[in-house]
Amino acid sequence: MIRAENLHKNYLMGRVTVAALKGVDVHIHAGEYVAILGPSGSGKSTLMHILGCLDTPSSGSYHLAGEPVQGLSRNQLARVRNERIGFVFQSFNLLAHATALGNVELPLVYNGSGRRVRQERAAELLERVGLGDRMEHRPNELSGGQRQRVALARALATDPDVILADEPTGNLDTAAGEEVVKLFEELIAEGKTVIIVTHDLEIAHRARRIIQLRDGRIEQDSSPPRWA
Amino acid sequence: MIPFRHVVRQLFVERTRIALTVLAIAWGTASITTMLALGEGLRITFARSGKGMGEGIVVIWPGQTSMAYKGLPEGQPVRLTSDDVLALRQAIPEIDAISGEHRTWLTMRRSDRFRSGRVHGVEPEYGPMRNIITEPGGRFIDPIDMRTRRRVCVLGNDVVAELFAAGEQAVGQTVEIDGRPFVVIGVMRPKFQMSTYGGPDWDGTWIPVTTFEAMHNTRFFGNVVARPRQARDMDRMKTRMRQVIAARHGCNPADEEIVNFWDTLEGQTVTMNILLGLQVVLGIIGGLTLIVAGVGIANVMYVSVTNATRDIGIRLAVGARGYQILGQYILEALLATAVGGAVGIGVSWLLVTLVGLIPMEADFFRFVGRPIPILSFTVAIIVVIVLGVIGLVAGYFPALRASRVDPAEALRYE
Ligand SMILES: Nc1ncnc2c1ncn2[C@@H]1O[C@H](COP(=O)(O)OP(=O)(O)OP(=O)(O)O)[C@@H](O)[C@H]1O
Ligand SMILES: [Mg+2]
Repeated sequence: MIRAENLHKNYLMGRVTVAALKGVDVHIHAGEYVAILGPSGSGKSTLMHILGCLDTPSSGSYHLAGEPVQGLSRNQLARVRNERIGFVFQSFNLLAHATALGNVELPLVYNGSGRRVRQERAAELLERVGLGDRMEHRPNELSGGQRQRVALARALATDPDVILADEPTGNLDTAAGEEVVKLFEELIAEGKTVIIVTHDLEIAHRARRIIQLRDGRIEQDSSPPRWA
Repeated sequence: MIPFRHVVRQLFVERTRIALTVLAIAWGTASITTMLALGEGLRITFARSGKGMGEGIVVIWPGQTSMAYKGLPEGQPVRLTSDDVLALRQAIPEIDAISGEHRTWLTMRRSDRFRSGRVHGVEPEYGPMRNIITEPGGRFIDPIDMRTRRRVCVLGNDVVAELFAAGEQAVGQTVEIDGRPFVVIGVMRPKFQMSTYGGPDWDGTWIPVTTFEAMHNTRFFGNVVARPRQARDMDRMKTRMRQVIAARHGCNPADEEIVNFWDTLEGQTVTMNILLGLQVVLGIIGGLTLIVAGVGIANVMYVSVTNATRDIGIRLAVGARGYQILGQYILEALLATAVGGAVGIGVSWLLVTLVGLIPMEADFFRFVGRPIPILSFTVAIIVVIVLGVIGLVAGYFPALRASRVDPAEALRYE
């Protein structure tokens, strides 16, 4: 599903070049549940952004579902993000002015779905994440856990194969985080590919595979021992 | 594909930003169009009342010689008669219209109503020249009245108001002037008149020159009124008139004092220059207001779109194409312009209507007329378009920039 080779990402900070990724290879099959661990600044978000086509690598190759992503035009990348990838951010990134329903509809607005279809689909997804009674709420009228579930529903709007989540529980308490993680596990059960960045070892160990980043490189890539 | 309805709904969602833009455009449009409407009203009022006495006419008063000539000492009075007027008309092709004018103060009566006022003996060309236009159903003095010395009269509108009851038909009725019966053939349509010699026309009564001369046994005009075919003929016409009069009366043709001219064109030129100045000043103020409003709108638009960078990042992240983002902001700017423009024009219309309703009873307005502000839709549309384009350009660049970066970059904007 995901085949990234020798990814490099350099940021130019004034005169200094910061190398956030220094040659990362990631191969992930369809249906895998992968956790990415690593200390702060190790390049986890950078990697996720590249995998989510939100950013482009300085060098390296990236194939998503067998198709090369490098060299795609801006609009083609937008289409990939829209149709193939659902991205969940640590800071939710919901439109503050729009309702929960409006936010979940957003990806469908840009793939040209009709209003009826959008609303039905968005409502269905909000029901699914347990927010059937919060559809008309705006983000600031929702708790952190509820916001993250809206964001997850949005990520699922176009039914993409790959769900990428960058510290989705980072701003949540344990209980709210647990609910969100449960939803990710449901997606795995449905055959989606899920990649989740976390600092929480317990959450990481529920994934079937852990990739450890350190200083822009992969330090370890393994299936964890089964606890319990 | 730009999701039009989504954008329209978004307008209601992102109220503050849109409200600010709409407000800025509405304010700019309203202030500029209202101001120019007031100025235009003033201009038209002055231009109209400036023409109240007649356009481009000259009034000629007979004077006396100031140079000894052909054996006669200076100080000889020059008196003008119908023969002089006829001679002037025949000798000077530049003359478009000319009329002698007698003037005296007489009593008038209609049944039990009396008044005493100015009665003028004039010729048919006097009416159009002096902008004395009769109400429908009436007419001014004609050549047959002249030839047959008919006892007919044209009344100023105030004279009618004094001699007749309200709503009474004056034309066809008989009034007594100096004890003699006259048929009213016309009533002057009310007008504004800034300048007069002798008195405003709404107070005047006009009868044929020939009738006047028969009644009063006089031949000497108080003055003559003439109008050249074209304004540029004025000076030539005046010079020729003095020459012809000098020749007929045996005076030195170089003698400036034999007749005195009041050339109303000179005054009108001054008025027109003042009005032009007024327009220039208003234009400058309007332009400055437009600039201020434009800067305000540009600022609002720039700040609001820049602040929306993160939202743009979110939209890009879920798959919006760059052109869809740009389309959204262009559509937004256009809608804000349309709504703001409509509101601005509406407010301006309201203000202009209210100003038009303010009671203004000063005597001054009898002469000048009430200035009624005039809203120019051309100006309004131009202002709206200019402000809209400014807003569009100001919003376009930050939107373009935000839609061109990688979404990860746009999302980092705080
Ligand atoms: N836009 C940027 N400009 C410059 N440097 C950047 C930028 N984004 C990331 N970096 C640098 O790249 C490195 C990796 O950052 P990244 O955000 O990927 O870390 P992370 O593993 O997600 O950390 P955290 O756990 O704190 O989220 C850091 O040293 C960071 O300073
Ligand atoms: Mg991070």
